[in-house]
Amino acid sequence: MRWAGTLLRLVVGGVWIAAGVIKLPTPEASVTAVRAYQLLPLGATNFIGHLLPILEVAVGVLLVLGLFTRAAALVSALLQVAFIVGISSVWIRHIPINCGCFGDGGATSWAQARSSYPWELARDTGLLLASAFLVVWARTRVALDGFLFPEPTRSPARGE
Amino acid sequence: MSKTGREEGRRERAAAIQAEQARSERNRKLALYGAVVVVLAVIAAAVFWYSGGSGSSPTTAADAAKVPARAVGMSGAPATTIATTDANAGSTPNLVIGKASAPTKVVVYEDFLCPYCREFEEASRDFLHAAAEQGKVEVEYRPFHLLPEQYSLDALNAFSAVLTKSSPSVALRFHDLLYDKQPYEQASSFPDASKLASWAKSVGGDSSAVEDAVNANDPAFAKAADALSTAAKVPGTPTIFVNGQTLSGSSPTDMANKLQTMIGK
Repeated sequence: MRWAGTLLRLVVGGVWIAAGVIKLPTPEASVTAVRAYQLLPLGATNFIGHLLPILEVAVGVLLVLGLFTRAAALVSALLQVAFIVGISSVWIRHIPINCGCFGDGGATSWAQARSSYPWELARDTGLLLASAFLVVWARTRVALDGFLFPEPTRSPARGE
Repeated sequence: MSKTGREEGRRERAAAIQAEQARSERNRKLALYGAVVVVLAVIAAAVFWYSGGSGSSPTTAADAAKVPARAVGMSGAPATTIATTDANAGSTPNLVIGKASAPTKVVVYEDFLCPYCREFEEASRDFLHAAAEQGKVEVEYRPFHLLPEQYSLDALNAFSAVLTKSSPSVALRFHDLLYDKQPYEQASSFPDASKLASWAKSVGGDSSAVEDAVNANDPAFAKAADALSTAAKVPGTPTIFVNGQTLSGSSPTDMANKLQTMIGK
């Protein structure tokens, strides 16, 4: 179970780092991607667009290092829920956009969008489940959490 | 003292030592936890601040006043170069910033409702203003009516009214504000004439002139502007010409970055 958690940490964390690092140098493009969903109050889009790439990298780094795993996994899960809501919402409203998940957000053709949305939702659902797993079983192998905050050693006398 | 008494005393001391150890271990954990959180928060805040997350600073009156701005006529102006005289400035002028002697001439075709134009504007505004002020670049903004929504035309008419009834400096600030306040393309309700008028007023424009122009819905400015974009074979927005050459890029931010490099910061 703990090795499975380690694998999930690396996969989910790696995806977050990739997604965030692509967007970090171009915050205005990130704002365009956020605005393309036409979902948030206009005043919030600038802030969210600048914040998201940093948050993504931060969550990714924490997950890969296994530092504050439970908190990082919780934020990861909440972000995935937000993305799933966002993509479902543009799909339902027939707004054709690139999800902007790995940069390159904005308008596209409806044919292109319609064929992408199911896959994006499937991917985000998978990442959501993996994040939820880590929230529940946050103790994993090769994690900074285990090094910095060791579990109390169990005395053999008390048994398992 | 009995043997059991001594035994109890020892047990108590051992328990006290254990409790002390547990407390110091807890304190160590808390301190470590706090330290790591603080370090992470500082890094995140620094990156956020560096990326300008608190929002691009709105152009102040003083900033805008320093950027040389003027209006030039657009009828008959060569499509991909700057009209250098005001000879044909009629009722349909365009906004130009910077000095005519600047080595780099930039023409920007854009729509006030186009999301990629918003991105290009936000990514290029600060350095274009600075370069125009330093005489490094001359920028002509050629907004036109590309998107079918009425707001695209309303914003254009409001801009035209500010440019002709107020001043080019005020028009520059209004132009920038229109992008800062850009509504969603499929908004259920768009800013109306009085909203556009209040925005114009907030940057020092004549609000009643704007309200009248939007309500009058005169297509003259849009017609002249659209004719220019057609003549220049503008394929979409934003389209940017640098000394007559089309500026390409993978995204509006990329285009802005390339433009900044061309101008030389």
